[in-house]
Amino acid sequence: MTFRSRSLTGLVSAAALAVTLAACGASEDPAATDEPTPQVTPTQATSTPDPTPTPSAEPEGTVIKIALDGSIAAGRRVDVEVGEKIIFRITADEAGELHIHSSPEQEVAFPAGTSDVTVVIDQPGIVDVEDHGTDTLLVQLEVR
Amino acid sequence: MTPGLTAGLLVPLHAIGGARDLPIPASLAIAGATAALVVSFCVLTLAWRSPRYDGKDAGRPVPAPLARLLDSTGFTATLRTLGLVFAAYVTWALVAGPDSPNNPALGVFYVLLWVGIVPASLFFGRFFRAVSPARTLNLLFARLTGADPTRGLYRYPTRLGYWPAAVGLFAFVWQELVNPNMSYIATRSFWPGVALWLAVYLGAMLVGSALFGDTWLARADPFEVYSDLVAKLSPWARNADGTLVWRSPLANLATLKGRPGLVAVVAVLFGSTAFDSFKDSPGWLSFLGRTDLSVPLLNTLAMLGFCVVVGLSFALATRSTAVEGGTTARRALPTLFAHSVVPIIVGYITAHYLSYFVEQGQATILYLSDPMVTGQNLLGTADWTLNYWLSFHPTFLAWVKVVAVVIGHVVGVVAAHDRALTLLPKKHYVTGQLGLLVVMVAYTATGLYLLFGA
Repeated sequence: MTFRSRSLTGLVSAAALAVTLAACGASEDPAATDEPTPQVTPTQATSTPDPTPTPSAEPEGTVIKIALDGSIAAGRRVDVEVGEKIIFRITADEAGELHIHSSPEQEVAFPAGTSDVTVVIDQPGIVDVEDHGTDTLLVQLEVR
Repeated sequence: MTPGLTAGLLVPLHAIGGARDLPIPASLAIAGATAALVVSFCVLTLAWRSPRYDGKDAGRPVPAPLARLLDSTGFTATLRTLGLVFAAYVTWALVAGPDSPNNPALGVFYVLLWVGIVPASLFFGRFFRAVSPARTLNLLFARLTGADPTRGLYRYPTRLGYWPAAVGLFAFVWQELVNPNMSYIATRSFWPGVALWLAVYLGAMLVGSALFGDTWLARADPFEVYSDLVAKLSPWARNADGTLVWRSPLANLATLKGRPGLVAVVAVLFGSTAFDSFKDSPGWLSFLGRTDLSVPLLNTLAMLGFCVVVGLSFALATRSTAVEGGTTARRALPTLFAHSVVPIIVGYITAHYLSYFVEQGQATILYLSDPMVTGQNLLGTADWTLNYWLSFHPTFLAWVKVVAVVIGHVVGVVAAHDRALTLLPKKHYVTGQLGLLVVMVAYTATGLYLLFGA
């Protein structure tokens, strides 16, 4: 899966465009209107990791466990819904980034140790989730 | 919320990333495959018994004023100029623009050119030939030197046929689907980028046409050969005397001239598209994740394997007939039946690329306004709102895909049936078609399975 990833760093010119598009989509598809407000800075709004890892309280949404030491098999496919909160419960030796190949793509940082990272995917499709450091495929999301 | 994707943030090009289509529902895939099977045997047993599309002149002349316009020097020169200007514009982005995903050159290469060539040729006939920069440059060189653009130093060897195009098409799909550096313009650590690929392509076209005249372009240019193939399913054609005519796509398809390498060309087109679906399937990806072998090597072998299986199965199937009492040698049969795979390819390509073409095509047109990626709006498309209706209606999209695949299959089966009536001896024409029918159903069922399972 090396061929799928391409760093987004530095390519942040069109945030304004994202906002227009967000507005357009919200009026069009009822399934996608769960959270219309935080879209002013779309990638941040949907991809900022929880500042404090809170494994104690069970959050709503689909929880997907990911271990970057390979102890949980990669290449699984998980069904999720459009607009649903997806919580990646990540176990990692060192900090890194998830690369989520949704439209738009999202990059999410995670710290070392165990942490929860929440994302929302707004458009149906098959979405690959990769470890950005090694470009390995961790899981595929089937978003409906 | 953001169906629009942040166009400037990234190019979710097929090859680069972004979400892919959801699988089609199993029920639809099975219904499609069943329909293909039933129709195939109905055609075999119930359809006409004497050939209808014999490859001779057919069709209705295009109204004279329109034909005069389309054949006028002004019109053809305008198309050539537009093609050249557009190529120059994209070359500017390719050479001077940044190597970033929103450089329009990438989208032009992978989306507008490679996928757009199919609808353009389906609607307008031999589209790429009319705008091809390589063909225009060959014409200009010939004009400058006073030479004949159709003639080179040597005569093009007949035995080569379409083999150079098959190699070129494989080189393209390798770049698109296998090369780890596919989404970059510049070459990095030995993996060719898009710029190098295009430079080698243009060099091969110009040198080849100097050696063999423009016959080289008609046999070796992967885009021209692909476009000409699909154009045989368009209503546009010419009679033997050169008159521009409108013709039924089936009659037009029957005029496709079988040449060596034609089977290889259709095998590469169909096999690589099937591989594209396969390469993203969870099973293959988890295998690639576990193995220590080189991923590009495995993908290259797998894609080659898909193409070889398609080509060999087709050759075997078309040859699995008795020929005694007929006029055609057995070894000539695969090439003479190869036209019947073209509709299957077009149906499957439609299913495979429809949402990608519509959505990434829009994004590419948007990027074209800003070739240097500095925030310019040269063409007035930079502030377009992209329409993601198709992705938000996966059920509709799945239906369109299955219908496209089944229509392609039916047209292919009818074309094969009609050709069998011409080629096979009367008493064998039902049994002689069986093998071909079986592989056609297998291609369609595999295509539907990959749309369902990948």
